Amino acid sequence: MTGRKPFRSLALAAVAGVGLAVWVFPVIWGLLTSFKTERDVLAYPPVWFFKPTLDNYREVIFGASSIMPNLWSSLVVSTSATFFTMLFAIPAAYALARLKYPAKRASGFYVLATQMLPPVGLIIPYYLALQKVGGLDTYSGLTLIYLTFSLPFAIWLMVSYFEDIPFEMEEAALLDRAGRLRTLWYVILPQVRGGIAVTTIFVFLNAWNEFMFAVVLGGNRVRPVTVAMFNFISVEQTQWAKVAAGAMLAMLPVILIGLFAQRHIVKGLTVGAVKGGGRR
Amino acid sequence: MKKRSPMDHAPQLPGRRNALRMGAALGAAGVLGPNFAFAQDDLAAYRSAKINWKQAEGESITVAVIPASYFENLISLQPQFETLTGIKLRFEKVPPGQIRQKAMLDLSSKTATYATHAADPMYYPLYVANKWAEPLDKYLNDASLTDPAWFRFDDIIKAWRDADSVDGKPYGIPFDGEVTVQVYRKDLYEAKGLKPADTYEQLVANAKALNDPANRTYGLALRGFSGAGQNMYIYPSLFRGFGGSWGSGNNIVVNSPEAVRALTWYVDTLTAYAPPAVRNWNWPDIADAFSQGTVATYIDAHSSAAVINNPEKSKVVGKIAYARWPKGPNGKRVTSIWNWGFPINAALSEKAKRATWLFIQWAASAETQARTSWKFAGPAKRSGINRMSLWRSADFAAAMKGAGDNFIPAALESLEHDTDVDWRPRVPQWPAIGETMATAIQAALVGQKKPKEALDEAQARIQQILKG
Amino acid sequence: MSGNEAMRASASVRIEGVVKRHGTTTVLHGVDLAIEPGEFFVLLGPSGSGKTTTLRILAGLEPVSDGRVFMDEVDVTMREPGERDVAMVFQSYALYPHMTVAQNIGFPLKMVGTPSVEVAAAVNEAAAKVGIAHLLGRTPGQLSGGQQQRCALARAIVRQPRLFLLDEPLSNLDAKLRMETRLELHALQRNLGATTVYVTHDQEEAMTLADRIAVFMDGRIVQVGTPREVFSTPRTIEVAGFIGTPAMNFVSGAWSGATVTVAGVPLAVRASTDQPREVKLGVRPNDLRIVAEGLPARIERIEDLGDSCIVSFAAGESHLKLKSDRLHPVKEGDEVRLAFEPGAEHLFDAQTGARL
Repeated sequence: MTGRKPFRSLALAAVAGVGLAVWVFPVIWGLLTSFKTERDVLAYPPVWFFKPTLDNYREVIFGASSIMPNLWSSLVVSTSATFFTMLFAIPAAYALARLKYPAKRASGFYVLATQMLPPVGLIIPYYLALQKVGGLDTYSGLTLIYLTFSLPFAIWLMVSYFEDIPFEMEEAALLDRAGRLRTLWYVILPQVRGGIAVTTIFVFLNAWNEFMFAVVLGGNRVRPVTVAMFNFISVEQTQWAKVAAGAMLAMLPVILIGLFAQRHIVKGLTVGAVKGGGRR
Repeated sequence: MKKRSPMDHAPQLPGRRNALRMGAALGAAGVLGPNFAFAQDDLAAYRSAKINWKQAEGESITVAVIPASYFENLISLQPQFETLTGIKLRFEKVPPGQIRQKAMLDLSSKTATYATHAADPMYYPLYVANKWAEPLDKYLNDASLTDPAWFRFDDIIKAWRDADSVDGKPYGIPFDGEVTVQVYRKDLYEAKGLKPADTYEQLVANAKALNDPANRTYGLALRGFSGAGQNMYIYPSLFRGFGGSWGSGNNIVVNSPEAVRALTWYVDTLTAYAPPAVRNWNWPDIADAFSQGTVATYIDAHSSAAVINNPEKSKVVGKIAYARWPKGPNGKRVTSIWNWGFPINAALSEKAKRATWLFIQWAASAETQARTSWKFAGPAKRSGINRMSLWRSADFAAAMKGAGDNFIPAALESLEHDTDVDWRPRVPQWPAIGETMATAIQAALVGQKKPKEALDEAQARIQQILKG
Repeated sequence: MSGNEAMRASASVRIEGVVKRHGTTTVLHGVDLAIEPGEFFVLLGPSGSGKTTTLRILAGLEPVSDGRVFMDEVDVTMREPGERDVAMVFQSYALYPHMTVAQNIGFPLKMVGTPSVEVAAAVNEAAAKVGIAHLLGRTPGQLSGGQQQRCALARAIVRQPRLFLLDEPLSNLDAKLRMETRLELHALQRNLGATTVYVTHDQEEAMTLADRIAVFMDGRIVQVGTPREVFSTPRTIEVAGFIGTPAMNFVSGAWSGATVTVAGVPLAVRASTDQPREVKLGVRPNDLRIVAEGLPARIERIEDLGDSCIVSFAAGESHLKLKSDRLHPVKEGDEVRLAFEPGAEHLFDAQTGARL
C-alpha cells in the first residue's frame, strides 16, 4: 500500500494540475493579451514572446474611454448592494432559521423561487417601477433592484449557517444574561462569520458582474464597468487588448475581496471545529 | 457619490495611437489638421440657414448612441451644437446589443429619457404602429424649423430615407449608413487571373479557386452568427437575389422555394469555402480574419474598410479592392439599406421636440457630415456619410483613397442601384421575425436542420407572431 | 465578586402544579416540587419522563402551560432566563466556539458590565476550582471532552448564582472520567453551597450525588426522597425496577400471612397480611441467595466480574438475577433453589404496582 502512495499523490497532483490549467488558461491568456498590441493579439500562430506594452492600460485608465469612472460606479453599486443585502439578510435568515412558524419550509421555497425567474422577464416591470419613482440611472435605483435578487439568495444561503448553531448555544447566552441582541452580536454572528464572508463574496460578485440590469436601468451617471467594456467592443471592431486590460482591472477588486474574505472563511471554518454536542 | 461617466466629457477623441493608425489607414494624414481645427465659434456655415437656431434655448436633450467612431466624431462636436443652439446636449452610449431594447422601454413607457436615439431602420414600422415616433414631415415643412434650401433633405441617400419612412412619411433622418460590397484580395485574384464575381456562380468559382485551408486561406466569408443583424443581414440579400419576396402585412412567407434555394446556397457555400468558425462570426471577426490574410473574399459593409486598412493590425494593406454584390440567379443585386437614423420621441414636450429636431437637422446637415468625415480633426474619417453630394465630392474621395481600389465607385453604384427598401420584411413584428429567422438560419448553418425544415418551422412560428 | 453578597445565598425552589404541553401531547402533568437551599437535588428518570423539561422550566428557557415557579418564595414564572440568577451546564456544554476558555468563563460577568480586572480574577478562581487554569488561552475546539465539561462548569460557577442547573453534564464522558468527575462535582457543590438541580437518567449517578432524588415517570414525579429511601422503599414497581443495578427481580405470587407463594413454593416474608391477595414480589439481586429450600431455578449464565459475579436463572416463566461477591460453587445448567431473608422483600399490588 505504502509503495503505491507516491504514485497516487502524483496522479492526484497531475489531475489537479490539469484542472488548474484549464481554469487558469483564459486568465493568463487575458493577462498576456492586455500587454499586447492589437496586431500581436491577432497574430497566428499566437505569440508567447512579444514586446509588452502598457499602452492598453494607459488607454483604459487615462484614455478618452477611461473605465475608471465605471470602476467607481461598479464599486458604489456593488458595495452598497452588498451592504444592504447583508444588513437585511442576516436578521432575516436568523429569524427564518430560528422561529418556528407554519409554512416555514414553504417560505424557504418561495425565497428560492424568486431566483428561478429569468431576469429578462423582470426588466420591464423594474424599468417601469423605477421610472415612476425617478430611480432610473441612479445609484439607489440600481442598488434597490440588485437587492431584489441578492437578498433572497443571501437569506437562503445564510439560513443554513444559522441552522448549524445549536439552540443551546443561544440558551446558554440567555442564561448568561446576554439578552437577545447581545446574544446575536456576541455569540451567534461570530460563529457564522464564515457564512457571512461567503455570502458577502457571492453577493458582491453577482452585483459586480451584473450586466443586463446595469445596461437597461443605468445610464450616463450609473454606468458600471460591465457596460463600459463596450467602449472597446464597438460595432466596427473589438479592441481585444483594451478589453483584456479593462477586464484585468475589473478583476482586481474581486480578487482583493476574495483574498480578504478567504482569510475569514478559513478562520471561520477552523474556529467552528468544536465537538458537535447534542441537539435536543 | 461621484456621478460621472466618460460620456460626460466632450470632446471625445480616440487616443493618440488610434489617431495615428487610423489616419494612416485612410491615407488622409496629409489633410490632418490640428485638433482645434474648428474654433468653437466657427459656426457661420450653420448660421447661414434661415432659421432661429436659438429657438429652443435652455432645453436639454439626451441622445442614445452606440459606441462607434462615427458617433464619437459627432459627440466631439457637442460644444459646437450647444454654442449654436443654447440647448444642453448629452450623449449616452448604449452597447449595440441593448440599444433597441432600451429605446423601446423608454418609448413604450413614455419616460422621455431619450429625445432621440440611433434607430434601427427595421423598427420604424413598430414605432409608427404605436405612435412612439413623430412624423417628421411637419418639421421638414415648417419654415421656422427647417430651411429647405440649406438642409436639402433630398440630398440624403434615397434608399436610407425610404428605409426610415413608413407609408411615404419620414420618421427618422439618416445620420450614418452602410452599403454592402464585395471585398477581395486583388493580389490573390491577380495571381490566379480571377476577376471579382459578377454572379453568385462566379463568387463560388472564385472561392473554390482560392480556397486552400492547408495554408490557412479560405475562399469566402459571410456573417454566420445568429442574430437579426448578423446572419439576417446576409441572408435577405441572398433571398432577394434568388428571386424571393417577403410579402407584406400579415402575409409574410419565408419558406418559398426561392427561400429554400437561397438558404441551401448559403449553407453549402459557407460549408465548402469558409473558415470552420464562420458560423459564429459577426463582421468584426470576418474583418479581423481578412486583415490577417486568411480570407480571400468577403461580402459585408463598406465601413469595414477602416479595420482591414488599419496598419497596426492588418497585413493586407494595399492588397484590397472592392466590387458590388454579385447578381443573383434572378439577375438582381440587393444590398442592405442599413443606416442609423434619428427619430423624435413622441413623448417629449413641444419645446423638447423642437430642440430635438434642431439637433437632428444639425447632425444630418451636410456641414456636420463633413465635419465628422474628412474635416474631422481626428483619425477616424467617417465613411458612412448620408448624402450623395458628399459621396461624390473630391474631399471625400481624397479622405478614402487609402481604402483600396474601386472603394467609392463600388459603394456609390450599390447605393444608387442595388439598395432596395424591401430588403427585409418591413412590418411592426420585425424584431420577433428577425430573431426567428436568425435562429432558423443558424440551425441550418450548423447542420442541425435541413434548410427546408428550418424554414418551415420558422414560417409556422412567424404565422403565430403575426396572428398574436 | 460578581455582585452583592446577598445574591450569593443559595435559593430555595418551589414549583406548583406545573403543566407543560406541546400541542396535543402533555409532557408534564402537574408537577409539584420543593427544593431546600443548598440542597443537591437530582431529577432522575428515563428519557422522555419530563425531567429535562422541568429543569428548563426552572431556567426559564421553557414557558409553562400552567402552574407557577418560585425562587425564595418569589414568583419567577414569567421571568426571562437572564433575570433569574440561574446558571446552567448543558449536556452539550454549549461553549462558545469562537471564544477562548477565559472568554467563555468570563462571558456571564462581561454581560453584566463587571470591570475586566474583576472578570480576570473571577475567571482564574473559577478555572482553578475545576482544574483548568492552565487552559485559559485555548479555544473549546482544542480541549478534550472532560476539559470542555469543566470549562462549562467554570462558566456556571463564576458568577456564583443562587441556583445551579446541570443537564446530564457527565453523559458525554467515558466511564472512568465520569466517575472521577462525579466525585469532584460533589465536592465542588458542597464547597460552593449553591442549590443544585441535576438531571440524569443514570440512577447510580443520582444515588452517589443527591441529597434527595425526584423520580420522574411519564411526566409525573412518582417519588421524592433521599437515595437510601428511594432505594430501600420504592413507592411503585416502576421505581423499584428503575433504581438499582442489576434491576430488581420480580415474580408473581400469592401473599397470605407472612408467606408469598410463588409457583407453588412458599417463601417467607416479614410483612404479614390477613387479606390474601395477588402480588408482585420484588427482591434485589443482592438479597437473593442459593439455598437448600426455596424456589427451583436453573442457572442460565454466570458473569464473573472479578470482585463479584452475577448469576442469571430461569424460574418457570421468570428470569432472575443474583449478585454476590462470593463465587458460588455452581456452574451453568445446574438446578438450584433460591430464597431470601425475610425483610428483603418488596411487595407491590399486582394491579396498580403500588407498594404494599
